[in-house]
Amino acid sequence: MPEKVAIVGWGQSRFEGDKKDIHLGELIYETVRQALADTGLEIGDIDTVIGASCDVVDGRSISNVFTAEAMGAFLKEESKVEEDGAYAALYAYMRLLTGPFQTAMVVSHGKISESSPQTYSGLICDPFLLRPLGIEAITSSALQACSYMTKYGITEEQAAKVAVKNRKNGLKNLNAQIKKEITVADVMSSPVLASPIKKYDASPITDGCAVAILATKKRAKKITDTPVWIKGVGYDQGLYYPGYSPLHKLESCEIAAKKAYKAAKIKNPTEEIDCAEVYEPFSFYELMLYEALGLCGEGEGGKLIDEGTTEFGGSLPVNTSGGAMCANPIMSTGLVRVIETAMQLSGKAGEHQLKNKPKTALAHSTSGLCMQSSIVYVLGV
Amino acid sequence: MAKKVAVVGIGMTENKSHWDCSMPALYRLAAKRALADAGITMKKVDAVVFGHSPEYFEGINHPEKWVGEACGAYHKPLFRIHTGGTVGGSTAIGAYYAVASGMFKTVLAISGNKLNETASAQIGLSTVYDPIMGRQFATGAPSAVAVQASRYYSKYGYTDEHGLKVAVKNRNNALNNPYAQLRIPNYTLEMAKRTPVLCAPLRLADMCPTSDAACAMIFSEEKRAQDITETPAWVKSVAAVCGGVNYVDRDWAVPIDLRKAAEIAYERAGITNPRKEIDVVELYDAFSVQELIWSEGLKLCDWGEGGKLIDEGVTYMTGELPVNPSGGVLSANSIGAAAMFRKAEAALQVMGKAGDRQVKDVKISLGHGWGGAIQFHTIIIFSKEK
Repeated sequence: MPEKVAIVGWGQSRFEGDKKDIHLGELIYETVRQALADTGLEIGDIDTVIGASCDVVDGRSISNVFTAEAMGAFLKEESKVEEDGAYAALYAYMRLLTGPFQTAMVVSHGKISESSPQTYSGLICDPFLLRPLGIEAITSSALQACSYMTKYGITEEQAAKVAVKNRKNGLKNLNAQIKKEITVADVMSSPVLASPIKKYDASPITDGCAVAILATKKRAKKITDTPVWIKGVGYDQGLYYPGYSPLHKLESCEIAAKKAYKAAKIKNPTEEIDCAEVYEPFSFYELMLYEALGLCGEGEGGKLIDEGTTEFGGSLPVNTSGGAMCANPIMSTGLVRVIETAMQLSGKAGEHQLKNKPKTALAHSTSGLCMQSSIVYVLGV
Repeated sequence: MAKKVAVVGIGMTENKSHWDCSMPALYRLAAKRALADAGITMKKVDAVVFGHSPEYFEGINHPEKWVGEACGAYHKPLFRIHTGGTVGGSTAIGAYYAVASGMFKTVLAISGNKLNETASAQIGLSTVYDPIMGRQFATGAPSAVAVQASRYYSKYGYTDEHGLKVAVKNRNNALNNPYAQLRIPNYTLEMAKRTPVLCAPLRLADMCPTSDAACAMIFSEEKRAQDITETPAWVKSVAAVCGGVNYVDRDWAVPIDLRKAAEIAYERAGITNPRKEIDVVELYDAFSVQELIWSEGLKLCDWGEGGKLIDEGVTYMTGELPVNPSGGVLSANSIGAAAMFRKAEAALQVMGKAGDRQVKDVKISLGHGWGGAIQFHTIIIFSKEK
């Protein structure tokens, strides 16, 4: 379904570790205003609003009760996806394809500093089998990292290179939370969180909000000269228990990518994708994602980073924004990947704009332990 | 543009304490029943939309991750919706858009909760309120609806007897519904009046029970729908509108958010006189008085005339426009599935499959739900004719 719906504008809050000075409602309101200003639209021009937030992140049952008004959803057709904002964008896309709406606003938010990522991910565990083990995001990811590295002979240094690359990219991104250049030696000597994951292999704790405005073809061209089209989207949920399916690969992401490529008529992703933004909560995941997204062959993720292909100046830059390594606002991280991809495609990425403006790009997001669920967008101009 | 969409299969679990099964098993039961009803397997289902209410009820974050595969979502596209009490409606609407957009041909919508696993649903619901302003005086849903009931009764000169009459009507309807939880033989107004006041003016009889349940609906595009069943319930329109919470002139007796949703749904369905054109309504009566207020919001009568509907017998099974033949939320409330039950019951009515609670000659039906702090309203209108 090419070129029916476009991303026409966006807003991102400044991502910070602990936004003590701002109430959740204000954070959302300011980011929504920023996105509206970006498009020149008024709130009355928005036909439908889809939120993305989580009760456990915000410590509120039905997390959108007191935030929907800040989103500008009052007396609008509204709904909420309890997943990352990239999934909410999918629902907005479906609504726009259906017809009664011309514009949709996607708003994702979370102040995880008021909860904790360990509580958030630990509570994903069922009470019978997983919870007694005490695993959560870091420990389950460490198991997956061991499985992947052992299977393909990937080294900790190769994973560390992802952390180094993305943190370097983040220096140019105004919204990034972490702005510090590090070396592979820094990563290797940083404290171990759960072997082989070390402190600098991990994304930070981040509060933030992201907003994207989508429009139908007819309306998009009136709003902006640089619409970014949704060429294809695929999503998939795999098995719940880590280890019931092979841990050394990301099955749900492979399936999601295949579906997205099919919809976008992409046959050879390494040739046709110009750049990508992926959700890498831990450094080694980016290597696994290269493989799952078909950007390299099986077991070749380490080789790809060694060769510098995915660096800012490489032939297939990945996470030019700095990725989740530089800011991981849970519930918004994936939508930020979509927005950053749209920024590159429209030539609006500012200091971290790629010199050769990309034409076709990929955005990825995930949800659940060990990337149980994945969503992949192919965007283009 | 929008593809034509129909509901082709429905699966319900009984509303009760399901101590004998886990949450995945409960959802699985609903999914299996829906697939059996449609006579298809998961191979024909292209995607799943998953609904579940506050995580704090069962203490599981992202329950769709754990429960998804039990619903048959093994390597299927799945996303989760959560809008509080109306989540079942929001999930069904999500599935509608997944098909109407042309992205998928057949989609399973499934939603539920195991409220008996929570220490107290009202503690869970009290954390709805903003931690800085509101949570200090929050005492769950009954306190908010007590304000709504007082406002409604005093604004239009009705009494709590009007609410209790609704409770008696719906509880008697529930006797015809094998999935309802409260099925009390020979329930009378005198019995309802003798129940204790829990939060004035609301008595125990005015309130819904605590249930475990899941509900599933299969949505399909036109051609496949006709292949699957001879009695599809065609979706004429959907609407989900968000209202406000903290504004000073909010009148709890005048649900402008629901009215907006109704106007959108009627316009898209081509309905100009809802009272005449709709044959049966299933609405979200978590508290008895709400049936009267929502009837006004849904334009089944003028503002202030909801009480007359029950006085004049309009909404009884024998009346001109039966409301909640299933017994409504007053007879079964799992929160997560309750709004989907309303949509599923409305669909069953146009399919002619509502069993003992079937209303005669139903051509158009409406299913409603509310959630959040009584500000998210969902509506689906079904039709027997394409």
